[in-house]
Amino acid sequence: MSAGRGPAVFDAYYLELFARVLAICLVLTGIHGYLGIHVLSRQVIFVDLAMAQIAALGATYALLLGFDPGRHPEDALPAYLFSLAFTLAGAAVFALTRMRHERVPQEAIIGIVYASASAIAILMLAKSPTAGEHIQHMLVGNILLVGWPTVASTAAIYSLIGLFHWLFRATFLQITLDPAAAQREGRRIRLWDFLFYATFGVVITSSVAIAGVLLVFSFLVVPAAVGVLFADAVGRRIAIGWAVGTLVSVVGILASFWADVPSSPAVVASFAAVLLAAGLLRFVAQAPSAVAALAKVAAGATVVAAGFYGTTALRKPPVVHEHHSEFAAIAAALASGDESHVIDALHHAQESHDRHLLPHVLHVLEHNTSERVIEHAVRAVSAFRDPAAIPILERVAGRDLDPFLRIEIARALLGARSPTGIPILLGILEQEDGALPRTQAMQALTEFTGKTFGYDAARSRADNAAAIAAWRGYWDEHATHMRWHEGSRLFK
Amino acid sequence: MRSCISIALGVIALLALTPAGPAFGQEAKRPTIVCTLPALTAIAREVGGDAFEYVTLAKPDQDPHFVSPRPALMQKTSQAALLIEIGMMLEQWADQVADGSGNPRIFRGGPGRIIASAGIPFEEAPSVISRAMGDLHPQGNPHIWLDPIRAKTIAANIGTAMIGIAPSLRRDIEARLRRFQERIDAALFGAALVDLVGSRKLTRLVLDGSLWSFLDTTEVGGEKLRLKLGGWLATAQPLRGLPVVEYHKVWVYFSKAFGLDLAGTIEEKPGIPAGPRHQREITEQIRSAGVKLILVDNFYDPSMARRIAEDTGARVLVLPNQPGGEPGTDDYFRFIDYLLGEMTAALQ
Repeated sequence: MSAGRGPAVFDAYYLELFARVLAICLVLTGIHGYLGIHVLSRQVIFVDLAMAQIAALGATYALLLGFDPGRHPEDALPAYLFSLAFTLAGAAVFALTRMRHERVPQEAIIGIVYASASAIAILMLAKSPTAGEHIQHMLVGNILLVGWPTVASTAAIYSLIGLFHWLFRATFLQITLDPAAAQREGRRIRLWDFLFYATFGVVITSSVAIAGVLLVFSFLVVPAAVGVLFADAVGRRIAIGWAVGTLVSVVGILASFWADVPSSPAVVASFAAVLLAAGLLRFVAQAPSAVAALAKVAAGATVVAAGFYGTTALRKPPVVHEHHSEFAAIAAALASGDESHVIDALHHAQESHDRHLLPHVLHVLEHNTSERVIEHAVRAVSAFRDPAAIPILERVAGRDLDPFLRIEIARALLGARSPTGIPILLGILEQEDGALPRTQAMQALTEFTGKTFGYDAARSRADNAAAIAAWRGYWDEHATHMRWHEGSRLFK
Repeated sequence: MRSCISIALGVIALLALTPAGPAFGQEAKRPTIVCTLPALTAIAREVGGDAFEYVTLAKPDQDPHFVSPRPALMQKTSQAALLIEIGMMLEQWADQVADGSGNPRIFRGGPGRIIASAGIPFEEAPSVISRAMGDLHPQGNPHIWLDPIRAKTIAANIGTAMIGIAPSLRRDIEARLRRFQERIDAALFGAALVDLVGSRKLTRLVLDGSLWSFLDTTEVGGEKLRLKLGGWLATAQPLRGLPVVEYHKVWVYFSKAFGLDLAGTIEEKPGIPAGPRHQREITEQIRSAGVKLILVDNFYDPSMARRIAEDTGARVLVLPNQPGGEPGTDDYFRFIDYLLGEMTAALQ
């Protein structure tokens, strides 16, 4: 199906798809670029993975209760509500485990929650057949599949959450950036932490379902990280993050369209590239000597490039083909024991008209026991119109074969100008009860001899006894000297 | 003292709970036949009747490519006389189950390890020429049980293996095998057509994909054979030539048997989301071929198929892949009935 690979031409279809994917990426950039600042400052980098896993656990629990949005689209809402409930419970856990003088770092708690939520989901699904599919889908997501209604509803939810954070921005930022001050001012830190994680969880639950864990993680952490690299004020960091997120979305999606690769991993890889470029830029900008720093960067880049280029020398050589010609390939396939391959090869042999293949085809005809293979071999042999096939066709016709196959062999013999096809057809008239094989045998007899002797296939064998006897008498009398007459195109 | 009593009570309770197995002097135990897939078990039951115990490893609505080899599966196969699989690289997990069972009869290459697809012609294998050019996947599409004609050969392979472990039952097994094959023929073609043409010719015609042209061009007693057609193929008349798209490469045998026009596959490489070009190609294909149905097996995530269906106006049909995959389809015949019923109903 895939015609040539190369840059895609941007037509209406791609423009619409591009617009859709870019729209959802911008929606994701908007909320995650902001939440990422919180995540980085709180040093809870992997909290989104843990939250996503808790949401997945909620969906899994819903599945155990019989709500399967995969099979029944109307179950999507209950499954989402279960995810949400689990997410809120997770938010409570994270709010409660943020200690002022922590003995166990919160990152450890997050890791434990992630691991145990994953394990419990596997245990829950251990008895469910579709386990792998569900767990996998929760973690993958595909932004190419997002429709405009999803873009709109996601934008609406994220705007509401954004608005909530905007209204209480002073408090949210204070408990994140300066919890000690918040404590002094008597703010209810646990409540605000809970509100933060709850809203964060709502966002993550939706985002992961749309874009998958990898992409959501990148949207959350990379723009914020670039922002932190280049600015100190929160507003400026968010602005830089948004700019980076937008740029990477455009670049990543374009790359995915250009190279025809899945969009989500392409955007994730672009994020990594941008972060690397930003880090190097900052390194050069802050170095006492820009020239020396540039030289270091260039040296590093050379080493990496040389490493990649060098390892391409280790590439395994391609498998050398066993068969050097079409002839050898067909002959080998004819000798294989596999019905599909033998039949395929018989068709190729028939089309090639290569006389050297005839012995191979005749070997199949004589030794293969499958009626289907014999039928195709008879057709291939007929195409060669070679008298060498006659004795083998005669031998095969003597086997216990389906009447239609014997008729086909008789026709092949008659077509090769051998009258020995006639007694095979007479045998059908004498032995078969069914009207259909007798009809077809009679058609062949008439076609090659011009005679009927009053035989009527629609009537029973017994009713045709006289006609059969006449046919037998005719054959016994003429068998030895019957010849093909090109003028009348009949045996006489 | 008290602990001694409780231990004794515990031992008694354990003994009481132990199921009365062969150790307790039951008559000769029936040999256990383990099948990887419910489709194989459904066919094996037809051939083996009550002479055997049957165990199925995969669940009917589970992806047959991926079954995790749990200890319970290994335990179930530890006493197996036969382990029957489709083969053709489908159940790559079967080796792990067999190895874990500690039952050398069913290790790969062992006398009890039966490849049900042996000798069955397959589709979607590269042609002779392209295989010679270095294509390394010559095994073809493994979803052969969706073609009733091939199910007859699966049954014959299973029958041969059963006779191998229970030679005294040969006549029973052969009789049941013949009965199953005759029932398939009658169910597929209708008794009238089988009487006229015979099972052997009809079987070849279906495998060659030339049944319909044969029925349309052959007359008997001045009537086209087409008019004699009954059974599933008569039910499937509205599906003939119907362009459909599949999610995973599953439906080629079913389509060939029943005359559907399989216009494309959504999933390009299993497990890897499609790139924009393939998504576009399949969307255009669906539009230009006028595809009405997108067939998705019930263990796959249908969201991509739904998305494409929304764009194109096609309809997503979620179907079982195995007998028992939906309630009331345990039997092979009811399974095919169900598939045809769902497809024809979806057209109305």
